[in-house]
Amino acid sequence: MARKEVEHVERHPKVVLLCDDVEELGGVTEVISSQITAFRTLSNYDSMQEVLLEAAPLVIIIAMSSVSRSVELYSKLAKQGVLDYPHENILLCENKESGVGFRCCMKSIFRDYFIYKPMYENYRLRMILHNALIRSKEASEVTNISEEHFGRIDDELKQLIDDAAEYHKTAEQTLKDARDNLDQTEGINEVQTALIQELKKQHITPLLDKLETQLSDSVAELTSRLKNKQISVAELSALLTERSIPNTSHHASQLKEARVVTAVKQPSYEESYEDQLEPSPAPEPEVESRPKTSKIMVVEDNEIYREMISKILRDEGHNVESVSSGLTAIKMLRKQKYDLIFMDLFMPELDGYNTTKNIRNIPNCKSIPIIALTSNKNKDLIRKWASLGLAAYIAKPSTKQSILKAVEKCNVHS
Amino acid sequence: MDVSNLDNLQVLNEQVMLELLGDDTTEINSFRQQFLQQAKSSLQKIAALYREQQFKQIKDEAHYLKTSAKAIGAERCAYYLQQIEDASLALDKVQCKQHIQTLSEEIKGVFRACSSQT
Repeated sequence: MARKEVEHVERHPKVVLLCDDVEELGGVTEVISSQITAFRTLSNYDSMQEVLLEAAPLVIIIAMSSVSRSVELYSKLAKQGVLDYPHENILLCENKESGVGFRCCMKSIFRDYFIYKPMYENYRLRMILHNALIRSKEASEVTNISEEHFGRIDDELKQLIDDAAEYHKTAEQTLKDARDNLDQTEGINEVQTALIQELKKQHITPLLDKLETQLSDSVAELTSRLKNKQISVAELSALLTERSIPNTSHHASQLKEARVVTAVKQPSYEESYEDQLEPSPAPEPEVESRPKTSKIMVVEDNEIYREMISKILRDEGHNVESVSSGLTAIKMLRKQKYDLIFMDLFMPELDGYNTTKNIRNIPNCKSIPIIALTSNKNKDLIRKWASLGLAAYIAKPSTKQSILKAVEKCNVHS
Repeated sequence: MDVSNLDNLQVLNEQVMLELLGDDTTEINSFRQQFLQQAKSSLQKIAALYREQQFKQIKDEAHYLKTSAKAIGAERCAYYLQQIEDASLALDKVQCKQHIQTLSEEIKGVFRACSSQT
């Protein structure tokens, strides 16, 4: 039998239903499509990725054969980076898994859940969908406005930087022309020429030199300040975008490659009823991490912070080795291979910048990702450092989430 | 953490370590104790360096301690360590002394805050 997916092939759906068996969801698709026409049902993983990337639907409804499979699918999509935009997610599950569905929502993996087997309250599903669409539309509008706003500021800053460079070029040319003209100027007699030469040597040339230096310094300072503003705007924009992405997506991406095991004793109808009375000892999806073998080096002179970063990474299953100086790091990197380096900027003997410079000369370390650990105050230094190839930078003390996100960004996992 | 405005800063911001390490109280207390020990020896070192007028070393030591102060959420300590860094960079002896004295009081404040929470 042909899959019913073809029935809902809206190119830019606002609502998508992700499932593994379309046949099972006839009633659900009918309810959803009666509520919204921009709707699409997807059961193929590649199509899911493609549609999510292209259309960024506002509401994602997931109805796999079990809750654990739904969680697995959502976390896989989050890890692929296709859910990094404001959206709402709804879990559809069978009555026997209502407790698990409830707990998934309590753990912020899904925004809401609905029992579709058996489906008693189709108006309840319509209500959930209606509310989800309103919330996600608002979030999406805020993101679009902020992106447009920051984009405009960024364009204006770029224009100002270009204008400053152009002004510098023109002013330099004017000064050069003035010098040339001066060189060609002669008096009507030798005495006057000598006087002009004297004036030129004593006053005009030093004045032009001073003007040129001042001009150059001022333009450099102005450009640097504009570039700092550009970085600040980009950071703020990224922060706002990150905040507009629902918690559910963050939670799901944190599951990463974790295997979701439903160590759930499937409850009978009576057990489900009791579960509603006594919610405490209920089954819930258990997340079992796979062992991760990536090797990470932490280079930080402060032992407390070094130990904190190492602990966060070890708890995630990474193999961590920490050192207190750049020199030790270089020695170790010559002997062993690492997947990622966290590095402090200010360290005794050899700072982060010079350590990185040395590391880049070690065979096999030319492209090793380096994450800078520093404070917000050292932007110029970070920029200089970044020219040697930095994967990310973390403002101390940061948070566990940001640190793990930076690791994730470097594509370092099991 | 912005340590530039003293009014917004706490003696011990618990949220900082919660966001870094989660809610493992034993771990958090252990790091706090390590910080107090580190702060004590660092402060003695800074005082000795001040007597010898070694401003570059004072700056380095203050920067070193600032990292752990920020990490455990000792925001006011981090603020005064930044002030010491700035004063030593400017070779401002008077300001440097004043901030070292205030830092000593702030570290005591962190000690009291840690004791009241354990």
